Amino acid sequence: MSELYELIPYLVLSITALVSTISVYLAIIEKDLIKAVLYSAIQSTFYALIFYLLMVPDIVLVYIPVSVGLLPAILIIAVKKTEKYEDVTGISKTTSTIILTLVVIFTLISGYLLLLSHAITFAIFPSTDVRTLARWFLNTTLWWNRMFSAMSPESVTAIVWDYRGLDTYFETSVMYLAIIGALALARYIEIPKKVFKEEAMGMSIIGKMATRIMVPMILIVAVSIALHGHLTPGGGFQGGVTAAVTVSLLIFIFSVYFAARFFKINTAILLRIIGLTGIILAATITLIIGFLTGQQAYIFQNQPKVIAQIGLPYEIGGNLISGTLLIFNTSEFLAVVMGFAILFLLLSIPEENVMEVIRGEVE
Amino acid sequence: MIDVRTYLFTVTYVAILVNIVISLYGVFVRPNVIKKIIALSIFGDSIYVYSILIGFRKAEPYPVIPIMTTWQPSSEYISQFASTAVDPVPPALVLTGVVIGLAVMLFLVFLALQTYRLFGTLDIRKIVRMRG
Repeated sequence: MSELYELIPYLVLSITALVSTISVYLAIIEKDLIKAVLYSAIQSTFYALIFYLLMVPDIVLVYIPVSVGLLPAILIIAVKKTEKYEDVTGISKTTSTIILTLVVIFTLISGYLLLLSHAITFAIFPSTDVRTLARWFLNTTLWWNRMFSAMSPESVTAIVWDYRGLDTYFETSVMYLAIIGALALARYIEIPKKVFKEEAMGMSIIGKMATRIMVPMILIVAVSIALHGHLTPGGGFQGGVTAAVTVSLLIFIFSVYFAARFFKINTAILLRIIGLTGIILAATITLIIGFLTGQQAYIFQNQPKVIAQIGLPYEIGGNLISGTLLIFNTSEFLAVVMGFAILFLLLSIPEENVMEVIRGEVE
Repeated sequence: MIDVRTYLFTVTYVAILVNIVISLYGVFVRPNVIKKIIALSIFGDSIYVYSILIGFRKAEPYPVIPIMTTWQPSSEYISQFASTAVDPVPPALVLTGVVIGLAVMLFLVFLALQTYRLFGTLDIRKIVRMRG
């Protein structure tokens, strides 16, 4: 009986994967684009369950707000502004068959290569062991010897910032460039100055009241996820995208004029710059202290190392703060939420105002 | 005699493989740009699932999350933790990937909207015929 009990997670895992295949098929084959977006959101929910069963709560926390909350919201705005139905007449059957065959061959080859990459031991997968690198990270994430440790019980956040800081640095740069690109495409376009009227705009009073109750709760959860990032599943990204859901809720349920009361685009850009400065500070604070005291230090350094003996304290008054991890999580939270707030505001400007600016530019 | 757990794990693996086939078909064949973006996001998500599957391990009775529950661990606790927790490297990489993916998707949506404003259609066959 106990064996059957241990099988349940694996059983749920395989059933979830099979059901997700059905929703992917429906999402691709559907001609009504709104329905296709909803099917893809259902698929994302099943993927979140898969991530949960594979024991990675960090990814669940970032994946649910991103793929079930933000991305469908953005795509629905885009579908509302463009074509509602997909026109599939005139796709020849031979072309699609040839492409399907090529895709199947490609996927089989790459799937086989991925299967080889699973085989780190000669045992069948899932293997009973992990890679040497992972064993090192797991052993040293919180250790008595600060020379080899990040002093954080949360090994994923420790890797994201402490062991692989450059990855995170360039990730922040990519997001920065995407937002700069969006701002460049939307140049000269401004949110029209209209006064928000409670009765005339947005959804019904039930939706508005529920949103008024929900938004503070979501914000509290988001801040808690971000500030406890070095202790529990979560971190700056996860908290940031969770808080960005509130901006999309305000725009959808009320209207963009209501959201523009709280977030001016320029203020959001300023707050985002403050967040980015905080990230740079977290990367270089040990270096600055090293310069001031005349000791050797590295960029992205957190705890003392063998030939660089300085580092931030990992606890203050019995509370674990893991050195620079707390600064990083707070600034990343601010940068991510403000970045998405900018994008949402730009995306929800009414199409007439945009067309006026574009016609002025083209003609 | 094949282990039932390995069998179920293989079913998961093949199902995600089928997802990749369907989403790539959507990217290449379906004409609407928004539909292509949806298919591309499904493709990326399937790749994330694969990365996480690489880090999964078999432990008795079930592997634990890679997060310690105490912050003054004994050496027995650390060795117990390191022998049952899943690989923390793929979650860290996927975490970065999800946020970059969202930023890139947002930028693609902006480009699609701009295309619609300038050309009046999102059908890729008509856009190609117009040649700017």
